Amino acid sequence: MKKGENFINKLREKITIKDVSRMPEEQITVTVDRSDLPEAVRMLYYDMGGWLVTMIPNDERPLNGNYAVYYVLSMEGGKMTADDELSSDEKCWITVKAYIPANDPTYPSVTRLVPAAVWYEREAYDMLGLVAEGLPDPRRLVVSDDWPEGLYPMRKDSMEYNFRPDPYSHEEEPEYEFYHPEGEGLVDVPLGPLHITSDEPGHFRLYCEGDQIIDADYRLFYQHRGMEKLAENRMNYDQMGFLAERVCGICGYAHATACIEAAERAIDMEIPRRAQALRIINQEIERLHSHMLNIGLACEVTGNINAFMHIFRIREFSMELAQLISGGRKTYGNVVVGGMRRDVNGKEIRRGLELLDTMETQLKEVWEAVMEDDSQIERWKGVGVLDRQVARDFSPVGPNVRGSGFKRDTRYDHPFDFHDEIDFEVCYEEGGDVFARETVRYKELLQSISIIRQCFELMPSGDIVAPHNRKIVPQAYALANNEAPRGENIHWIMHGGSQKVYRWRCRAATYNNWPTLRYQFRGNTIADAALIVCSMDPCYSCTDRVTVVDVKSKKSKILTHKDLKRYSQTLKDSPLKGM
Amino acid sequence: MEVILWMIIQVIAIALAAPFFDGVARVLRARLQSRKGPPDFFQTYRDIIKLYKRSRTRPRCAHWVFDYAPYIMYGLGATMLAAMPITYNSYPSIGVSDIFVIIYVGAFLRFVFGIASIDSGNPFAAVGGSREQTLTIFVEPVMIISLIVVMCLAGTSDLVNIRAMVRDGEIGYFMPAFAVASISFLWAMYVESGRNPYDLAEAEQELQEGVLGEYAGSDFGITHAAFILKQFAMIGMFLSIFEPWNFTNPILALIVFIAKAGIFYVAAVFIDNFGARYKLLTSFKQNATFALGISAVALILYAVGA
Repeated sequence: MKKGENFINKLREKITIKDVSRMPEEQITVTVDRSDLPEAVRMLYYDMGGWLVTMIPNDERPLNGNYAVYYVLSMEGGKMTADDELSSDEKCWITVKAYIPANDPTYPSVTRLVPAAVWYEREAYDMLGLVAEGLPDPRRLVVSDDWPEGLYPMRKDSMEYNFRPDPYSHEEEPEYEFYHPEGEGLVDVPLGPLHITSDEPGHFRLYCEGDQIIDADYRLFYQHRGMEKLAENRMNYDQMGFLAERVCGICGYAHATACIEAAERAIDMEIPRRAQALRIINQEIERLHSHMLNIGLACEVTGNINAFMHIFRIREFSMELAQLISGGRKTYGNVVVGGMRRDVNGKEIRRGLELLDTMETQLKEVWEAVMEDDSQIERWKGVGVLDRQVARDFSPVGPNVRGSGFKRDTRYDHPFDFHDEIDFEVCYEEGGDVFARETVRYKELLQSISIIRQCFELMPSGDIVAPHNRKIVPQAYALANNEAPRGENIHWIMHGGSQKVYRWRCRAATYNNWPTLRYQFRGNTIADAALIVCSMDPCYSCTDRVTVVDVKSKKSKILTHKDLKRYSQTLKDSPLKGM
Repeated sequence: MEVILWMIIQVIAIALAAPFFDGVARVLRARLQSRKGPPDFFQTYRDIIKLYKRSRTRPRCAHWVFDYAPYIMYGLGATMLAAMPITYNSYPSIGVSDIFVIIYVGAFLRFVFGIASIDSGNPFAAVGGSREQTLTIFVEPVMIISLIVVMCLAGTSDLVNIRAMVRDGEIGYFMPAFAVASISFLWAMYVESGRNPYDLAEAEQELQEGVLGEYAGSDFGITHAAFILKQFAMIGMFLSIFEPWNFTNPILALIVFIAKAGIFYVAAVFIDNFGARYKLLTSFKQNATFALGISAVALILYAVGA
């Protein structure tokens, strides 16, 4: 039996499957009718242990006259208990695809059954005008509040890439509707978009009673750069990697690799082993400096400047390592379709091994010192708890989900590149608080050092670029995954004609992490708000918004635009009442 | 009259010397954090001068409270310093150097800080300001109880007289109540001086900065200077009561005082540089309860006549 066949058979029991295709062998696409979409995704998600990794709305009118939505699930087991996990030869990707006719661009919302889909469905409306019927939170997500109605940037025919709507004047700009709870003596504390606490654009509203946060809502995407559109219009494959790197200032390399590997997988291109090992090394270097940055900041926001400074001193070694291996302190500009642009020599490897030793010893010393500091531990423990059920419902990734005791790591669930030769342990911690997340990061630092060491030692010889002998097949698509410091990055590419991409969907790690933040805020004090945001290690370039799902009663409620407008004007009879 | 003259002289001298010790503390802190830090000990002077040259920025919704608060706070810090019997300790008391005067001037400073925070219209500043007020609830009892013990032992609340009695050995560390009270007062003094882990009144990531997050330019410079003055005043109070040995010559006394207070100021770096900040209602509360216990012991010791 082929990989994933058992899931498809189970799906067939309840749902009519129109078509099954396998682009790369372990990525299965199941086409269903749009009315079956929510149930199909729910069955895969909750009944068979899937996690929603991305959703791609696509304008396929030039190809077949329809829009299409692709819900991609990573089949790996629910992981709520230790044995609730699939064996490694069963793990695969299943994409549920549904066509949406161009003259009626609606589909039933999956969010009602699988909360994790909420942001994706918001974005599908903003970008392509696809309406998810019954979506609990119909506010805008990606485009700004003054974006003109009826203009959907990702539609192929909607706009020139250089077309920009006239900006509103400051006074006429529509207000964003924040959800807020009701009650006597609630104080609304805005945080951002420009605030000393956060140097990136995100607007948080904290609803507090005294010092305690009762609820929170937030608006992000202040700096949406429209990269996906840019790539479709102007970039060839050699340029795309460099664009993908600019998604993030910290984990850019992971984005570049995922983007290029998606393009490679779609045409089934195998890259040389040496290039694979180099890609892994660079990704792990990125993890080193990113995790050290985050642990340092988690000390700094609690006032422990001393620990912050020492961790940053060690971080400098990882920057030196990056310079040694990739030629620059930022690991940019190395990945091309088919391999790498820069090789390493034996001298560099020797120096690299020395740096790793220094880093390892010093890291252990500093971490030990931080652990001995009771006042620091006390600030981290029990703060910003990510409940296990919330985590299961929203599919968060990276140290965020591993801090809540889930053994979820894409390097382990869906090994790619050189990872088949490398031993490493998935680091996870119980507790779900800031302390657990930072401990996961520390352990991962040690794992990264060990992975880089193994790569150096096992470094295969040979070329670093595969010969160019493959044709780009139009409409071939594939997704590529890798574990960025903040969690799993997923890039999905559909090839187009004339050496250009037809659709590129980039899903950064933090996109999946934001929606749970609201639950992590609740019940904590405002003094911890900055710490909680920090411990999630947010990447603002990714991401917005939260749905109304009550985890305890498992109820979700549909708010119409009318409801919401009335509520936002009168602030009476909250539509969320009775949940 | 001469007393008032000396008061002015000592305030000016300390106001000029204090930034130097802040500079020393910053250099030391940088070394402990393995970074380079300021080039020499005079960085705080340069900071204040630079900030003072800049224009003011104020929120549109702020009122006169916000505008005048930096000057009021600076004035109050200076008043606290003036009330310390440093240079005029050999003159007969004129009644200004009273423990109650100093404590309430300090409380007033905190009050101004709080209302300026609220007046700024920034909810974060307001939360920071109210945190500052809550802090008082925990610190004030410890301070008052410690001082009550001292005042009862001395039979007066006049610092000049208390100082003279401690120096002449009428009261002092041979009395257990006095010794224990000095411990709890030391804690209160440290908290009042606004240092990590209890409070770090710099533009920080959390809430602690209060209104400092809204001040800029000259306002920020003056507020910053006012807080340094206040810290010196708090150290001065501890020194006047619990470590009053000094020369009678006013100039020599002033120099020795500045040196002693500076050592305290710089040495505090060894406490405030390490560890995370306390949360008000958890770790801080426990800490304050412990200090309150110590001060209560002092009071009991006094009551039983030990």
